[in-house]
Order: sequence, then structure tokens, then C-alpha cells
Amino acid sequence: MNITLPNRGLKGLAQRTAVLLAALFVSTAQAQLKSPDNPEASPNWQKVKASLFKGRSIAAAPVGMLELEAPQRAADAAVVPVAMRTHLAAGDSRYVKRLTLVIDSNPSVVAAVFEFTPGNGNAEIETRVRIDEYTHVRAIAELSDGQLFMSTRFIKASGGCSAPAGKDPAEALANLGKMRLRVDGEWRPGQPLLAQVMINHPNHSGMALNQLTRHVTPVHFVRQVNVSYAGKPVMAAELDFSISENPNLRFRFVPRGPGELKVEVLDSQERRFESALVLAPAAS
Amino acid sequence: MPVTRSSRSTPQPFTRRGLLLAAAGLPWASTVWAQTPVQALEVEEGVYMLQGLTGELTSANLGRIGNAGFIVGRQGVMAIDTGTSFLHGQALLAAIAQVTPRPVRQVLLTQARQEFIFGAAAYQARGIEVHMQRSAAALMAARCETCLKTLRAELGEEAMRGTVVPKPDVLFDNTHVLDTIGRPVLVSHHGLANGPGSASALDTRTGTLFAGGLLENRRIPDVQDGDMAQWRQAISALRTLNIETIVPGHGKVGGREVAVGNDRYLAQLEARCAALLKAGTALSAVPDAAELPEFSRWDQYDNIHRRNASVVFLRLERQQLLAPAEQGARS
Repeated sequence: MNITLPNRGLKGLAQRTAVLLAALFVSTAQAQLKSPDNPEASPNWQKVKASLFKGRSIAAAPVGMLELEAPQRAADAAVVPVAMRTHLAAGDSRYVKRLTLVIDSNPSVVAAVFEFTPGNGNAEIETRVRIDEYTHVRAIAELSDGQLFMSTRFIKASGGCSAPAGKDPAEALANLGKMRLRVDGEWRPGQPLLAQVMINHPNHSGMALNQLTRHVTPVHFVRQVNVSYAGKPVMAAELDFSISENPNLRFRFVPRGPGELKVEVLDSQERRFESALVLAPAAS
Repeated sequence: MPVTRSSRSTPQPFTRRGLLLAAAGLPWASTVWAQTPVQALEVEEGVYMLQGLTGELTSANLGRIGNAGFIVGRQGVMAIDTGTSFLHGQALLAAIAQVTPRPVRQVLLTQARQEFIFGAAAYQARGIEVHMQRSAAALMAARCETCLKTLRAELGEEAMRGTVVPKPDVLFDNTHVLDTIGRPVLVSHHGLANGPGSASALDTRTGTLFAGGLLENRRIPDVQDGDMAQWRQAISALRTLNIETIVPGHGKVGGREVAVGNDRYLAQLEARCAALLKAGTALSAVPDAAELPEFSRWDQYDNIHRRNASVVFLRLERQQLLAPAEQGARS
């Protein structure tokens, strides 16, 4: 899987600064940012569209085919639950190959790219993201025939009076990469199961000021999560620091027989973590 | 009105005349005062509450949603909390001046939250000492520039004019008795309860507790800064004090039942979130699934309660993640 995520690192920062300046000094730009109108005109989206989708046409998703779920007003801007759920008509021979999550106003605009494999039912994923300010959030589905569909939502979130950072860095490092896997429901042939991967990781953006030390915590985030079942790939996620601390992924897969659900995690410091969960058929 | 060290280093007894002069110098302030005059309510002999408005912070209520108060002694006045802005602080001081000409000696900031701290400069401008617990002051210094920026954006420059992040004059560590107004006041430090350095003031003569953020009355407590277990312990520890009347951080004055209600809420919130985590609930479903009908008529139920549910759920989830691996999961 080779995906180039644009607007990472310094380039993202520069872009972010530009957006901030525009918001501060140009009232029309501010009005545009604060308003849910005209999502297509968003400059960051235009850049992502050009670099990630090479100008391919992206259709508005038909009702019910691609749902983007997110709270209109986020309770906590650091942990905003976002779900992308797809539904293809019965008999449709295609499958959703890729789901891309874009957050226009974030320092890193492409928050996540999820790759799916056929035979696992309707692709669906729920995760949690950081949202910096009022922004359009987009889900873009790429079908196996190459067609692209998009759903867009406008989300209001802002830092406000944030909670104190009271974590012990030494303890956090000791538990880095610790995982918890959970599968809900019992294994039955052909039935999708809900799986949840929870990863202990600070997912530092490299931009947040440590409130106690007044130093910027260096960037350190989970960049890749690969999930397989019984040796076959189920889902692969390319993530970045738009994902909240302690990355959490919920998705469905269809187990074809007993096997081991295996999760491999790579972070931006090339650390590798693994976890697995053995599924046995339901006792009848 | 600039706040300078020099005006603070020569304390002036606060008088009604001084205030009128200050008002004359601030013509833009009078309109704001007129919109929301503050009335002092005598809750016990010589003990007054300056009640905040209900609801969440909006430009309509100017964010003046936190309670404040004061205790009048023979030799002066001790104030508790300072409002949301410099202007709000002035309005509270004006309300105190309506009651007594005695000088305000000091003001206690009970917690590092915007509706309690940002009027402090108005008090300091009159030479009134600002007291705060050390941990609360550290949290305030670390985060409140951001809160202030957000407040300016939401309430407007005029409403927030002159407002700065306070620098307390006196930092304290432990529970102590203040006796500077001719009436002893027990200033308690509750530790990390509703937030770091949570403080309250008890007028021992009447048993009136200014509870700060420790207790709310028919208003959802905000758990964001706090620790559930230590908070409940702190509430439980109030039993050892002789308390008759409670002035909460938000909501009306009440009796000891205010403490009981707060503890019930915290207990139920935690139990519900634990059950939701056990059931594998998605974070997106948590606010809806965390309904607690007993508290549905409390102020901010649709707002703070929903956020509380997510906050507590995430904390429990983190604990679970760091706990030793359970059967069936390994890492």
C-alpha cells in the first residue's frame, strides 16, 4: 500500500499559519471559515483534492451509501468521535476499497486513510479525532471500480478552557503501544463482527505546548495499523496526529472460520507493537 | 483602566465614592453594568451571596454565570470569587459597596475557572489581596490565557476590556483560618477534588460554606478538571465541619442537601459510564446512552452532563487499557 499523505510536518505547519493569519486579519476569510457554506470552496480541500485524488471527479454520495457521523458541536475538541459507514446495494459486485477522512482546518488535513479487503461486508470505521477549529470534515469512499464518493459535515469544536495535562511522561512511555482488542458478539459463519482496537499512545502532534514544562512535545504518533484475521488482511489504516491520543478504531469484519485477529502497529519513531486475539466458534 | 503594580502597592480602602469616580472614568462600562446589575443577597447574618445567572456562557449573559459572595466582619470584608471579567469584578465590588462601607481586605479565588477568576484585576486595582491555592494558581497560569482569548472572541472586546489572567498576591498550600476582618473564616484546601487546588471558605460563626467548584446546586458539576474519587472524598469530609448553609459555585443557596445531591450525581455518572464501557459502547453513543433522568432538570444537563459522560468514559477506558491484560487479550 503506497499512499502519500500531503501536508505533513513543516508544510502542514506553514499552511496552518497561513490559514490562521487569514482568519485573524481578513474578515471575509474568517466568515468563510466559521460558516458551513460552500464546502467545495475550502482552500485546504482544493489542495488535498489535487494532490491525493489527482483531480479525479468525486461525486456526492447518494443517500445511505456513505454516512459520515460526527457530533455537530464537539464536547471535547481533543476527542471527537467520527464514524464512516458505507452501504452498497445487495448484488453490487463492487466493494469499498478505501475510506479517506479529511479535516479541512486541521494542521494535518488528511487524518486517516483506511484500506479494506473484499468479503468483509460493508466497510465501516469509527475513530476519534482532534479538531482544531470550526471545520468541514469529509469522508471519501473509493470503490473497487475506482469511483469516488464523498460525504461532508461541518463541525464546531474549539479548545476553550482545556483540561490540565496531568500525565506522567515516564509512565506513558512505559505503557507505550500497549493494546486492547475486543470483539463483540459470537463468531458465526458469514456474520460480521464488531472489532475494537485500542492503542495506548500519546499521538503527539508536535504542536502542543506542555502546560507545565512550557516545551513543545515532539511529534510522535501512530502512523500505521494493520489488521489481519487468520493470516489474511482485513483492514489497514494509515493515520496521523489528527487522530486523538490513545488511537481507537472500531470496524467490522467477517471471520471465515476460527482464527486469530492480529493487529500490528507502527509509530512515527519506527516502533512496532503487536497484539492478537483468538476467536473460537460460539459454543452451541 | 490599567492595572499597575503601583496602584496595588498602595492599598486604598474601597469606598463607594472611589467606585463612582472609577465609573465616571469608564463611560463604556456603565452600559454593561446597567444590563446586569448585581444584587447582594444576605444568606446569613453578615454573609452575602452575589448570585450568577443560569445557563451556559453566552454574550447575552456576558458569561456572568458563577456565584460570588462576601463576609462582612467588624474590621472589613472578605470576598469570595471575582466574576468573569474586569467589569464583572467591578460590578461585584459595587454590590458589596451597596451593603457596607467597610474595606474589602482580601478575595479568595476558589478554582481556576473563568467565571470565578477574571474579575480579580478589579479587586487588585483597589489594593485587595487575591488569595489562591498554589495548584489552582498553577493551572490558571498554564491555561487561562487561552480561556481569556476564547472569552474575548465570544463576549467581545468591550465586555472583556481590562481583563487579564490574575496573578494572586498570596499563594497558600493548606487549610488555614483567616482572621483579618474580625470574624474567623476557615479557608479549606480540598486537594484535587473538582479541580487542582480546590478551595472553599467557611464562615464559622454562621456555618455558611462558600463551596466554590466543590458543590453545585441543581446544576451539573463539571468533571473535566477533577478526580471523581477524591472529589467524593472531599464532599464526604465536609461532614466533619459545622455547615448550615451552602453557597454553591453555581445555582441557589441551599442547605446540606446540596452536598448530597452532588455526591449522588458523581456516583451515578461514574456507575453509568463504567456500565457503558463494559458493554463496549462507542464513544459517539456515550452522551445519549448516559442519560440520568434524576438530574435531567439540573442546569446544563444537555451540555455539561453529555461532556462529563464522555470525559468519564474516556478515563475509565484509559484505566482499563493500562490495567493488566485480561483473559483473551494479550499484547
